[in-house]
Amino acid sequence: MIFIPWLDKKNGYQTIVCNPESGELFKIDKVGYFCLKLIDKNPILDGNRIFESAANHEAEEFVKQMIKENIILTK
Amino acid sequence: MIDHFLAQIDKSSFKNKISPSHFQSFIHLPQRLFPTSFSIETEDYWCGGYLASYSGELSPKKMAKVCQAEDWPVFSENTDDYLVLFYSKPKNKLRLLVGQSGAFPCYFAMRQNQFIASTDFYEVKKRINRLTLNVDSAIEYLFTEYAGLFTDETIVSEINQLPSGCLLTLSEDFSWKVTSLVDLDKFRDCRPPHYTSLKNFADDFVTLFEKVTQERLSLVQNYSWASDLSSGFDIALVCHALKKVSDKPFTCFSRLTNISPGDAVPEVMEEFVKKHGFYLKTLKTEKLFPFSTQKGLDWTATHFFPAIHGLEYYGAYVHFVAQNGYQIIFGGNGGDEIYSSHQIDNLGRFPIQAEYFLTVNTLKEGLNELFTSQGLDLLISKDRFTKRPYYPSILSTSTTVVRRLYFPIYWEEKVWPIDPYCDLRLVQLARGIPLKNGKPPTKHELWQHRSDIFVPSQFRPKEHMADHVGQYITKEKEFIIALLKDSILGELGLVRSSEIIDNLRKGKERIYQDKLVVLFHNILRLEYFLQRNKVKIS
Repeated sequence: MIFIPWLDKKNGYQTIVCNPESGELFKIDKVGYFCLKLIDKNPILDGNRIFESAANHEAEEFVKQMIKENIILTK
Repeated sequence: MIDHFLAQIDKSSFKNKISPSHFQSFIHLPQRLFPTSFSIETEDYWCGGYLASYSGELSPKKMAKVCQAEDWPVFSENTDDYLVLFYSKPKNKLRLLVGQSGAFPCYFAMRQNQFIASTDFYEVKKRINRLTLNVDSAIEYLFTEYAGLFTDETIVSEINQLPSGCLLTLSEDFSWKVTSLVDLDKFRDCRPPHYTSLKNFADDFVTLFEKVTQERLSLVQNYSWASDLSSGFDIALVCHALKKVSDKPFTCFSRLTNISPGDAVPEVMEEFVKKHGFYLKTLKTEKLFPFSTQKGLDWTATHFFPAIHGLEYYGAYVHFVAQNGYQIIFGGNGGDEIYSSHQIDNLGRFPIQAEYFLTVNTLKEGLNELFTSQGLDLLISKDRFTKRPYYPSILSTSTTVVRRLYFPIYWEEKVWPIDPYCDLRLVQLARGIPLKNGKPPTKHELWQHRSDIFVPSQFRPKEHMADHVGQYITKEKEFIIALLKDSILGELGLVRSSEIIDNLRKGKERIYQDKLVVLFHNILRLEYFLQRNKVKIS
């Protein structure tokens, strides 16, 4: 993932991320964006901490998918 | 001697405000058959440049009026070919505009207390005392040939470029700024009709394409014009449209190589010209590949651009067209990209991210054979992507960059290319193409019902040209080895110059063919320029 602050703001904090293994792209909504931003700022979060930090169940499901797609890597 | 547009304005004159009558003395605007040059001078301003208005929307007077009023939105959806310089004495500002079609490149630099701008990289370069490698921009050239995101930088730090569809402003304090004339958001907000029938889409596309072609032809019908031709669908549609709107036979030109024919299969072209009654002239280009001619090498050392793998064979081809007495050549540039116009609404919202992921995904194609880990780190550096200025484009950047890069060749040969696909109305229509599982149809699917235009043999798998281009790796091996021995990019730690030499000496050329053939070429092309011009590493 890559954050482009001015462009992300323009797009209402929608963005795209990429599975580095398959090359597949995923569109991410605002909730997902801020989850990824949080994880980007705290790269050494372990799996449990990530779920604790996720604001709600929806975010938890999102984070699980991002882990599955190799966009978030956990210890 | 090539005669290019050139502006040289010194700071002291600029600060004291230049009278429009005196401004002309700072400009060299060579007369051309097409596009024609113009200049208008009043008490308050000087306006001049080149203009080919296929749309009929722009004229020299209107250009001057728009520039004086700073009514830049006029240009936001215009794809005419133009380069315009506008100086306002009351505001003491200079503006330089290039159209979004990519027809005119413009390079500029600040040399001590002088502003220099030209359509030719060489004209600016020869007026700069010292050249320093711009590593970030050089990496971008190597990987994308500037066909990715637009940039205002070049391979040397002292020279900038004006991206297509942009405006350069030189202010009173002699500072400069580049801004985009393109309003991609406004274009995107216009919702085109969405097609469910592929046949209806294809037929409507043809109708509009014929109209667009007619507008272009009407501007050049008194010149000697011809068309490009290959065995592909895109240029075939151009030829069909020209036939329909001109109603007379005309000549098509093609370049042939029997090494790997790519999109120029002779039997297919013969069937096509026979069906439509065209004349066909062909140029054999087997012996024309990267670094095969001294002319190509000299061109790289001086002008650098086009700086792409087609320099040798395409240069000979344009010369061939000129030798046969033609001043205008219609082409199919943009034909591949236009059917992906729906991406404006999808990936087009995330251009920098998409370019970044494309770059990262390409690492799997063996780039480590050419680049060191330091070079690869720089290639995928997030900093390089996050800090760059962004200049939007409605036309695909890979379409406009071809025009911009090949400009010096067209200019030298006095041949002007016209690409009907570079029209925003076609892009707007193509946004509504019916998709299948999110993907556009293949060209076979799109055109299968138009036997009035296409011949059966055109419906075949597209062949590649990699073997033809890749001849340089075996036939110019000694040149490559000698070049890489003094590699500046190797000295910088970006390229595996020693390993490459070793592999070539061991007969392992195959490593650099196929997927790496163009990238390897770009490294060598840049290396030749850097060494011949003694470009410094900062």
